[in-house]
Amino acid sequence: MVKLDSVSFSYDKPSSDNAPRAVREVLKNLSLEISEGETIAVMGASGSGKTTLIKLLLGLIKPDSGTVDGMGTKRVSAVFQEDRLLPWYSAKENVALVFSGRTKSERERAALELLAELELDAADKPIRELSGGMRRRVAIARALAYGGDLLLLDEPLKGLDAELKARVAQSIKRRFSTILLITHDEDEVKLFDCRRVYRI
Amino acid sequence: MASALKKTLKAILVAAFWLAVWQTAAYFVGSELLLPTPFSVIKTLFKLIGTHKFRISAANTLIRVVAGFTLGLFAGTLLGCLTAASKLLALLLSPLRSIIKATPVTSFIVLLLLYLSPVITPVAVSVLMVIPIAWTNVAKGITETDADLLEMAKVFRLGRLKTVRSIYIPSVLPHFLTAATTGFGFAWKSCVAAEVIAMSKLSIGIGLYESKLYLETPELFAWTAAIIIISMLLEAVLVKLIERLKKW
Repeated sequence: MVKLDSVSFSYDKPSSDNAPRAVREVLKNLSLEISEGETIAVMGASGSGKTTLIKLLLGLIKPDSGTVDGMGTKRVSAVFQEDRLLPWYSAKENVALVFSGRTKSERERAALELLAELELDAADKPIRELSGGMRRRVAIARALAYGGDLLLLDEPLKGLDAELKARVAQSIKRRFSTILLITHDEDEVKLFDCRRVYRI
Repeated sequence: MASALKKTLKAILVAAFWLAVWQTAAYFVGSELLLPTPFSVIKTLFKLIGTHKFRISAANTLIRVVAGFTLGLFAGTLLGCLTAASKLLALLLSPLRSIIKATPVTSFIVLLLLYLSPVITPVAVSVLMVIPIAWTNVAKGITETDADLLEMAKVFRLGRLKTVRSIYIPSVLPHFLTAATTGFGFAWKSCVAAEVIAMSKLSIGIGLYESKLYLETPELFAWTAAIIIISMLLEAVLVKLIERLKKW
């Protein structure tokens, strides 16, 4: 089980040289739990700290106070709010990049299978030539390719049409049983059958 | 095809205009010693190109430029990587870069001649001219690498080697290529300047120097024209190489 207990986090807000540094609190005493095999959703307005929460769970930042437990031994995959794809690589290469311990041709074959499952047939095209929705699916394919015990999704289905959203959500659920979904969209919460919804 | 022809025609017309300006100026000056005519310079250039001395001189200078450029690019890249990776090294080494950048090339030439031979001095000067350019550009490329991509690499545990190969190198490459093209011009000019001052035997620099010494103004112009032509040809080769590298 992953457990956040009374977690707070603030960013130092850049200000002019003379003024004291302003502090912007984005998370305040947040507590939540993700048990094995469950999908939970976190919803909130822009700037409410949803992306900060993902960063905390990934260990990219440390909380100012409170604790994050149960992440130490876990292999965690993620779909970031931004696609974070390598623009100089093709869709296939971006996905193949995170596979490990296989030959290049095996990695690329596995990447192609994943991209095909997500209905992306432009696997050899450079990222810069893909539409927003296509890039999103490459980012999802990469997260699925990496695998792991827990999947963190930050607005994963943005840019996809309603029918595709449902099919992509199914593909994700087939591969991951423990998921934390961050979204604005109530429909996405339903698509992922989220057991609990936290509003922050 | 038509646009290429148009472009060539335009270039010829521009060249013809400037040759006409030169010819007119030479006519009014009326002295080959002060300003030779384009015709006499071109004639001297062809005569010069046919000589064994010119070929050996050009080859010697070329070897020095390429050696200085390559070493400078390598050293500058290494320093760029080190200073981008370590704040302490950046603090320690940055005065060195400022000094190299601010020192006039002639000071370097004269100073280096105290320790090095006239054959090696032009190479060392080229190295020193290229180092800060490569250093600054590579360090900038590394520090400006997309932090989001580096975070992604951390999350997906890409490891150091994969992160360098798939993120850092493609991010730094455009900066490195800018450094290469700019640095090459600097290496070439500083090498010839060093050859003139160091009087490096059988070099383009000494060819220039001797023409000036014996008041052979058409030859002086011809050597200069040869320098410009070789430099432009080499830059074109470098640009082609860079384009290939970009595609790769």
